[in-house]
Amino acid sequence: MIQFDQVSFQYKPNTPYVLNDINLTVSEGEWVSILGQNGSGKSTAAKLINGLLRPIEGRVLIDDTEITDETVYQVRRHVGMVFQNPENQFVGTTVLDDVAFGLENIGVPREEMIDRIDESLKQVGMLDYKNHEPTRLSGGQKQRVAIASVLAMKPKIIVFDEATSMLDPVGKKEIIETMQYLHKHYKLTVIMITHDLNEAAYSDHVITLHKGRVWLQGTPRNLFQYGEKLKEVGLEPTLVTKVYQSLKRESFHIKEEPIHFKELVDELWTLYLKT
Amino acid sequence: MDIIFENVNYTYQPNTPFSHQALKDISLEIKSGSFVAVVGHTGSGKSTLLQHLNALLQPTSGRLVLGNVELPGAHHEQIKSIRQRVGLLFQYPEHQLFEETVKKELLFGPKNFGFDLKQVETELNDSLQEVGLEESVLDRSPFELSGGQMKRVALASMLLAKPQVLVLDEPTAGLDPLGQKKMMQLFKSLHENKQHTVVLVTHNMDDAMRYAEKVIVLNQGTVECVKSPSELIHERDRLKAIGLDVPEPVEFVEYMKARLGVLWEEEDINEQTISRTLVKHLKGGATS
Repeated sequence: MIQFDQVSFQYKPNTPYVLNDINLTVSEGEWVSILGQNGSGKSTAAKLINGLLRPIEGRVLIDDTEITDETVYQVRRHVGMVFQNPENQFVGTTVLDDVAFGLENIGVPREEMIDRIDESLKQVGMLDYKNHEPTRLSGGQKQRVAIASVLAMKPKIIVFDEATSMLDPVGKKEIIETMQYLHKHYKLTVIMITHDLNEAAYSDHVITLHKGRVWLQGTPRNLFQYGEKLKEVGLEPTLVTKVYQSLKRESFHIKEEPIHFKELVDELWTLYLKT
Repeated sequence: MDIIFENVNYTYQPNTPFSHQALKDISLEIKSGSFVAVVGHTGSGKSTLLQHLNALLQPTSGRLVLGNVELPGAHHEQIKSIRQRVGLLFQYPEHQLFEETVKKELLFGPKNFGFDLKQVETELNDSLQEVGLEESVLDRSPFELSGGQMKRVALASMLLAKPQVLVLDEPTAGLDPLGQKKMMQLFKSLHENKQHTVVLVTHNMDDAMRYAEKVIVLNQGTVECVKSPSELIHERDRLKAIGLDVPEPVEFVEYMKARLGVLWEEEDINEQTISRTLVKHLKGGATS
């Protein structure tokens, strides 16, 4: 469980607060997206979750343990991070070395290390690339190796900080599918930092930040209902939302706010065209 | 300046065991003042192609005409003039920024190309305004800025060199939706108001279809096809087969047709035409 208790943060004294009095709770096994435009504070929030940054005011708790100088290394074992740019997170000369790095750091015995490396590479579908150089992989493959490195540490929580934003559509899909698989099979808590509403639609909950404050906390459907108002916080309503709003103006309604075009079309068929 | 590729081949590390042919018999034309998109899966040859456009790479065989310069075989001065006339914006702005301050960064290109720096200094503020940055960034280090701001600095420094052709490699990757839209609008207005030729290299099929007049589709180093956006929407299966994304509106329409038996009569596919067609169909107009 992740808790933010009245958290405020600024990078330097006398500069504006990047996060302002944030209260949040993310339950174990949940998939939560944190949305917001550039500068909304979402990446700062991500770094507070694993103690890369510490709040100026308030507390961040992981499983009821407050992150402090004493607890941070312990907490960090439970919280893995995958960053935006796959180029910036490789240390090893082969995929194998790279996944081994974190395990060596925490002194995992060799036999167990071998098992954990194979297991985590297998989970992300990269076992065949064990002896490859990371630089020769595609963007999506690099990110999957980064996920394997995190997974080998057996975390409870993985934070994906815009992990798909630099990838091509195929790479994006690979990463989302990997996330869904891990979430389901390991009951991992997933925190996804993104500004893509279509991606956020996969999550249980969404938290939208705006200028360092929580603007909305709810389900993806709650968020999609805001329609054109999303532009005020720098987000772009999805195509299905725009189309559904035009339909509503013509008095065609469906039961729930659609989050995918297939949902909308299927509902329209059921309600208006089924004979 | 017109850009013409004639049977261009390019091979990395030729005559070695690592030899790899990235472009195979490429022939295409980019007219002066046009807006084209280059799309293709990772490894399709997009990056190799774009590096040819400002002579960072030259054909291994075949002929490339960039305005009045022909490659290979151009001399040093001609290549320098190409670098000035063809501006390149990289995907990762940190790869092209290096000066201590934004001001020095902006003046670097013009200085290199022998511009009158006093004159350029008077243009700095307008240029910042054009790309949506405030004057206060001039004295800051470009590396203190956010990703979106860095990209704007790289863009401003490119524009100050007064290029005729803008080559943009994934210009909106990593920006938030509002930033993406503003950036694309900016390219559109540069194209319309200043007659820049724009070559947009992207994975984003939605942007390619929305902004480009022609879309060049690359596949494994060859030109798969060159089509207008309204032609390309009929090539769904072909795009899928070569690992490209089908734009969401196109998928939407396909699903409407399959599920509801909608008759598609519009030329463009966008939120307005989709809504209009759906409403018409629901009211029974399409079937009656």
